[in-house]
Amino acid sequence: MIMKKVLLGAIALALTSSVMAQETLKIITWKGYAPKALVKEFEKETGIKVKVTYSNNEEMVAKLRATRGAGFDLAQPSQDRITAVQKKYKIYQPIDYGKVKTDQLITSMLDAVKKNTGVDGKGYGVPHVYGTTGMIVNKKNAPDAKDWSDLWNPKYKGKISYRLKRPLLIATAFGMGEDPFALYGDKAAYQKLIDKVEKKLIETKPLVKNYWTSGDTQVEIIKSGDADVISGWDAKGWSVHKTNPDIDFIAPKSGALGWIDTFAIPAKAKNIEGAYKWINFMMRPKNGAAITNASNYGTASKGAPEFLDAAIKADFERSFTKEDIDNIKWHPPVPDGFEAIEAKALDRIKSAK
Amino acid sequence: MSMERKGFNVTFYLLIIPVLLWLFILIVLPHIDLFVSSFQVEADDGKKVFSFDNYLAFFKQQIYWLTFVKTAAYAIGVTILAFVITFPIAFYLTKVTSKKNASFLILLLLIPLWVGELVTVYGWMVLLGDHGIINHLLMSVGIIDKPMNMLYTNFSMIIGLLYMSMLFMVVPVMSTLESLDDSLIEAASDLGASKFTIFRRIIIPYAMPGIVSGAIIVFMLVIGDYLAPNILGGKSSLWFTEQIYNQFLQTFNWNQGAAFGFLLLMLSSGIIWVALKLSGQKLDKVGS
Amino acid sequence: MGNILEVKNVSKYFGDFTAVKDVDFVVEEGGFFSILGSSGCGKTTLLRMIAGFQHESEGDILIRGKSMKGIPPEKRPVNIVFQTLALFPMMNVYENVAFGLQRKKMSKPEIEALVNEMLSRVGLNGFETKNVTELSGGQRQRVAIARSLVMKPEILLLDEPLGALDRKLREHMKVELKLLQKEIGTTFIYITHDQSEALVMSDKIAVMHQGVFEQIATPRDLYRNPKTAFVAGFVGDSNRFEITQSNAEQLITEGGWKINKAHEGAKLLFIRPEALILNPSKGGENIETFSVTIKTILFDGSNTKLSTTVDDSSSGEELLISLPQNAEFENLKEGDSILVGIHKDDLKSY
Repeated sequence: MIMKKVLLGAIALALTSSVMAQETLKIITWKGYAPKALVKEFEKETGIKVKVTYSNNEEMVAKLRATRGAGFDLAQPSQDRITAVQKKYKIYQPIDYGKVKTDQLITSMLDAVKKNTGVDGKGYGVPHVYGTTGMIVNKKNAPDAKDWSDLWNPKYKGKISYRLKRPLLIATAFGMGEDPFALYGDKAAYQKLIDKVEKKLIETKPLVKNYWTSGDTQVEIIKSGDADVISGWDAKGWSVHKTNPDIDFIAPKSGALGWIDTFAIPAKAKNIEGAYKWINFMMRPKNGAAITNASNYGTASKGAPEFLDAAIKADFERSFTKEDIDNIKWHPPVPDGFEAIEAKALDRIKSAK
Repeated sequence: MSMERKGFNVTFYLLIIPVLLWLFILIVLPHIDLFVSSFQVEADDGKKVFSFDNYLAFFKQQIYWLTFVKTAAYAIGVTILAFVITFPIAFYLTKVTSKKNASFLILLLLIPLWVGELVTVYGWMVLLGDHGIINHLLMSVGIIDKPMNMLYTNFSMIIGLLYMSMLFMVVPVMSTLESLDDSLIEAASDLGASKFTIFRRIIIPYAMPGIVSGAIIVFMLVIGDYLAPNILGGKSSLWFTEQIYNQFLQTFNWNQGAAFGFLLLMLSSGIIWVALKLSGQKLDKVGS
Repeated sequence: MGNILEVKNVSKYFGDFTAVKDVDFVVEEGGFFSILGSSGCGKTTLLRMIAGFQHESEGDILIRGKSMKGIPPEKRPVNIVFQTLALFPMMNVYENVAFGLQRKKMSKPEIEALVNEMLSRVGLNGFETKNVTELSGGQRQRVAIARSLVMKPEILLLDEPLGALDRKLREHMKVELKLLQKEIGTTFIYITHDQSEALVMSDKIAVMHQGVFEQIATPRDLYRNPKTAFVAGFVGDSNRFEITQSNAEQLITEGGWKINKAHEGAKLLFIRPEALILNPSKGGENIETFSVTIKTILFDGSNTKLSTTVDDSSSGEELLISLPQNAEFENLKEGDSILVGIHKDDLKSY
C-alpha cells in the first residue's frame, strides 16, 4: 500500500516537473514563515513559482545532509545551529551580503547573526524572525511563578510541564544561577554543568506532570488545565492568552532564551538569485510586519514596527520589561560534540523513574 | 503455443521490472547504505573508519540496552493484552453473532485505521486528561472528587498502543476461528468438557496459528511505534524508537542511529523466533 | 429389558417452522434404534435434543426415567458421534480418545487402560501417536466411535457417521458397527437417510417425515407392512399406482386396470417388484394374476428387473418386476407377453 503510494507519487512528481519549465524556488522553512498571501504576492511580482516544505531545525539538517545540500534553494535554520553543522557537513554556501538589502534589517541583529553563523570568516545567515523561550503560566493558579527555578518548585507539584530538549537544559542551568553559554569553550566544564543539571531534573522529575513535545501539545497541556507552569514559546503563550486571560507568557527572571531564525542558502541551491529576491521581499517592512501580526514572532525587519497591530505590541510589553529585554540570553552557536553530551543527559532524564 | 507463452513472459517482465527497480532503489539500496554506515564511526579527522563501536555502544551503555529491554517488555505485555482483549471479540464475531451484525461490528473496529494514529492519540488525550471527558463524567456522577491521573502515564500509553494494534490481532484470529467446525466445540462439550476446558484445549490450540501471526504483527507494530509512547506515554516512557530518532535528528550521529535500527530489527526478530519456538509454531504455517 | 430412553410428545419450533412435531417413542435398553428420513425431516434436531445441544419446545425427554430438562450436554449420560466426526485435529489418536476420560478426573493408569482396551476393540492398536489427520476415512470413523464409547454412555447417538465414506467402505462399516453394538451392548440411536443402513443394522426403525414419526417397527415389519403410503414409498422399491375408483371388490387404476382387492376409499397402490411372481402355478387361492408385456430388460446382476406394461391398462401403466437370475427365465425377451401373479397380501393400498 505504501509502496503503491510512493510509486504513484514519484510518477506524478516526474510528470509535473517535466511539464513545468517555469522558474521555481524551493524553500524549507517553519510553519508560519511563508504565509500563502505573501507567496502569492511574490509569485505575481517575480513570476517565480514558490514551493514550501515545512520542517524544524533537526529535520532541516537531516534532509540537507542526506542530499549534501541539494533539493532546496533556501532554508531557515536557527542561527545557533549553522556553524557546527557547516563545518562538518558543508551543506550551506556563504551569503553574499552585497545582494541582501541590508538597510531593511536591524543592524545589530544582522551583525550578531553574521558573527554567530561565521565559518572561516564568512557569514552563512541573514536574520529573519526571532523569539524567546520562557515560561507560560496560569496566573490564577500560580501567581508567584517567576523564574526557571519554578519548574522544579514543589509548590506546583503535578502541575509542571516542559519540553525535554536542549533549551530546557540551558534554562535549568540559568535557573540554578549558572551561565552555560560562558562554558561553550570548555567541553569538560560544560559536561560537569550538564551532569549537575541532569541530577537536578531527575531529582525533581516527580513534580512534573508530563514533557510536552510540540507547539500543539504545549498549548494543549496548559489550556486543558493539566499543567499551570510550563516552559513555552512567547508566541504560543500570547495566543493562549487571547482565549484565556489567566494564562500568559512570562520572561523568567534569570533570562528568557532568545533565538533567531535565519535565511541560509544550501550548498547546491539551483535558484540562488531567486533566494535573494525572496529574502529581500520578505524583509520589506510591510511583509516583516505581516508575519509578526500573524504569528506573534518578532521580525528583524527594521521598518516593521509602524505596520504592527497594537495588540502585538501590547503582548510584548506585558511580558517584557526593559530589564527583561536586556536580560534575554541569545543562543550562541553550539560547539561540535556538545549536542551528544546533552542528548545522553536527556535520555537518562527521560528514562529515570 | 510457445509464441504465446513467450509473449506472456515479455509482458510479465515489462510489468515486473519497474516494480523491482523501485523496490531496489527505494527500499533495498537505502538499507544497504544504512547497514554499511552502521559499521562506521567518525575519526578525529572527520574520516569514516570501520568499527563495531556503534553496536558495542548498545551493550556497553546501560541506558541503551535498558531502554530496549523496557520497550520489548512493554511490547510483549501489550501483545498479551491485545490477545486477552481481542480473543473474546474475535470469538463473538465469528461464532456467536450473526454474519450481518459481525460485518457491521468489524467496520466499527476498522475506524481507528481510517482516522490515523495521530488523530486517535489526540482523541485519547481529550478523553483521559485531568480535565478530560472521563474525569469530568466520573466527578459529576460523584464517583471521585479529584481527577484521576490517567493521561501521560503507562496506562494511557498502553491504551493508545492497544487501540492502534488491536485490529491486527482480531483479523488473523478471526480467520482461523472461521474455519473452526462448531461440532468440535459440541463434541468437547459432549465429552464432558467445561467451557473453560473447551477454550483451553480446543479453541485456543485451533486458533494458535492466527494468534501467533497476530501477535507477531502487534509486537512489531508496538516495538516500532513512536507516537503513542511519545505523546501519551508520559515523562518516563523512553521508547527505543525515540532513541533512534534522537540519534538521527538530535545528535546527527547517523552511524549510531543506523546501528540501533538494525539492532532493533535483529533483536525483535530474535524475540519472535524464541516465541515461535516456545509456542511450537512454525513460521510457514503461521504465515499461510 | 426396560426402556432406557423415553421421548414424550416432544415438539420443536424455530419461529414459525415446526422441525419436530409431537414425537413420542421409547427405546429399549441394548437396542439399535434408527431414525430414518430424508434430509430436513427433523431427525438431526431430534438427536441434538436428546444430546442436549437443543432444547425441546414442548414435551420431555427421559433417560432411565430421569427427565433431562435443564441438564447440559456435558452432564447427560449420552455421547454423540458427529456427522463430520469432529475429531480434534490438534490431538493424536490417543489424546482424542482420552479427552473425555481426562475430564472425569481419572488417574493416568486408569485412563491408559481404558483407552488401550477401546482402541484394540476397534482395531486401532499401534495408532496411538498418529495424528488424526493422517488416518484413512474408516480409521477416523473408528476413532470417533471409540472416543464416544470409552465414556461408557447409556446411549450412543450417531449422526449419519457413515455419510462421508465411499460405498465399499460404507457396506463394510455397516456390518462392523452392528457387530460392535452387539458385542458391547450399548444402546445405539442412529440417524440416517440411507434405508439400507437402517434396515441392516437396526432392531427398530422409526421413519420420520416432516417432523413426524410415520411408523416405528422392526426392519422386517417396516418392509413387509408399511403403515402409511409414505413409508411404503420410502422404504424399499415399489411400483406406485394412483387409484381412481374403488368398490367392495375392486380397485381401479388411472389406466383402467382392475385389481381384485377390497379396499374402499383407497387412493394409492404399492407393489414391490420382488413380490411379483413370474409364471405362477394357476389357481392359487390368494394369488391375483394378470398379463404384462416386456418393454425392456434392465440387467443389473442380482438386482435385474423387467420393465413391463400392464396389458389390462389402457394407458399402458408401467410395472417393474424383479427377475430371478436362473435358467427358467433366460429366454425372456422384449415384446414377450408373460403371466404375472401376486399374493393379495402384497397389494398394499392406502
